[in-house]
Amino acid sequence: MTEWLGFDDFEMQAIILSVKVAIYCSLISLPIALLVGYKMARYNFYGKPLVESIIHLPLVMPPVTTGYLLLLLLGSNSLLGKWLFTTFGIKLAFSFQAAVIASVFVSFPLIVRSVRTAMEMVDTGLEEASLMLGAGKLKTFFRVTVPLAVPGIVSGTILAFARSLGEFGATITFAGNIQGETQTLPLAIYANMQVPGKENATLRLVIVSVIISFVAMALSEWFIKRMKHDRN
Amino acid sequence: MRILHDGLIKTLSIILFLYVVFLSCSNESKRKANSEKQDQITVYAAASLTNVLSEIIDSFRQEHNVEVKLNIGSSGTLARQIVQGGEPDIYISANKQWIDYIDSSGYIANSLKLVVARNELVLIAPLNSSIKVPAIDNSLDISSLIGSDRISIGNPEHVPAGIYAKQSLEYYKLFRSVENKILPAKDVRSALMVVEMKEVPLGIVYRTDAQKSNKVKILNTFPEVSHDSIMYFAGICNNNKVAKEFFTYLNSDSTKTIWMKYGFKK
Repeated sequence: MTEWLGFDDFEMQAIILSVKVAIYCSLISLPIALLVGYKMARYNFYGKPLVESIIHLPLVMPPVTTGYLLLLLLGSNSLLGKWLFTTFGIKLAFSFQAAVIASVFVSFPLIVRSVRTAMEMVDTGLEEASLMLGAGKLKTFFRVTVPLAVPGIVSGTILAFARSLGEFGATITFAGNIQGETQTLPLAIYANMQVPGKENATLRLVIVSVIISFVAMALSEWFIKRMKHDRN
Repeated sequence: MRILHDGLIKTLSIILFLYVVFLSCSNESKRKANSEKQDQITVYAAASLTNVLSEIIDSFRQEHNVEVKLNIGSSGTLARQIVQGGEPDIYISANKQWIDYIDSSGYIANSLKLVVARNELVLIAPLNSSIKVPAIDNSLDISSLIGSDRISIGNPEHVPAGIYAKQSLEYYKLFRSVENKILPAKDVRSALMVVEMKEVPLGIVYRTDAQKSNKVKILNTFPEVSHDSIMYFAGICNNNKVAKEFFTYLNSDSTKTIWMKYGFKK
């Protein structure tokens, strides 16, 4: 694949990589957000405010700080990192997986908030009715709670996807700027910006970035309208 | 449909107005204070000069009432900033390429560029590494030493340390074998940090960076013949008198000891 619309290999790789990371990020955050969002919406437990604060940290901290913390916690020199390496031979930092992990951490607060709010608005009476009529807890969750919370779940997932597309600080710190492996679109734009003379390449990538964002937003609007229409 | 109460709108407007007035006032007082206080120059300098320049600036300030603002980064990044309107008084690049670049765009006064220091390129590893490199030549199997890991160097597209590193590796026909294992850093200090954090087994930085760090060790030095001479070029970007004083100071006898203390050659 040589010159498609004037992009060279590395630029195409950055675009495809960004979309791949965003998809993986959404797919991984969603089930975890469903679980955590439900727990936060329905249960009260000792230390709940602390858990809430920890979940929201990546939202408030500068992304580079999140990336640096990820390096300290999961890097080759950390307890967890060393255990992962000796047990599975896995090195997380500066890899494609690191880019996905960085995106998951920064977008998780966004999707959890949305899911939790949506689930809090579900009438618990309906859940109780379902349990009384004999459906188990799991069935109630997937057949009653989730369908009723779908608008919030979907908008949360779209937020996570969009946040991942724009993720820069945590990615460049924890995953590095490796072309073809971790150099997502924002990183590629930044890298090209640093080199005098690469203004055209930078502009091309910026335009693609804007187009992808527009398309993602348009798709999400259409999807939400579709859902509203289906419900009525 | 009226959402905000009339009284609320009035209150908010007054608060907003006061806030804007307050903002514009503080700026003016700052500006006045600056022009009365002292002269100020801005220096854009290569990342590897962070520590040595800080001390030179301290020394300069003891004799002159001048505030020197330092903008540190990869020489390539800084060159790009200058061309896009950065307007420093002095620019110090870690190679000739980037200062020539901004000179050709007309940003160096009288095209006067002076060499203020020299450096060497070294191969480094984390302090607890067991790797030994008796010599750097064609027979060095650097790819095996890296294994499935990576080697940390400055980004060869814009970081001079990365450009010199690539030159040396190509000189010994080793570049091809490690090309896919490079972890490009945004400047030489970031390249150093990755090795300090033991994320990679090897790195290539300047001798001065390796000496400053107590978390890495130098395995060997790249022979000077394998890369362009590492020379730091300084240029003045305007006719500022104070900038000229600092420019001369960089090459004076007073600073020679400071340069050499940090491992730079003159």
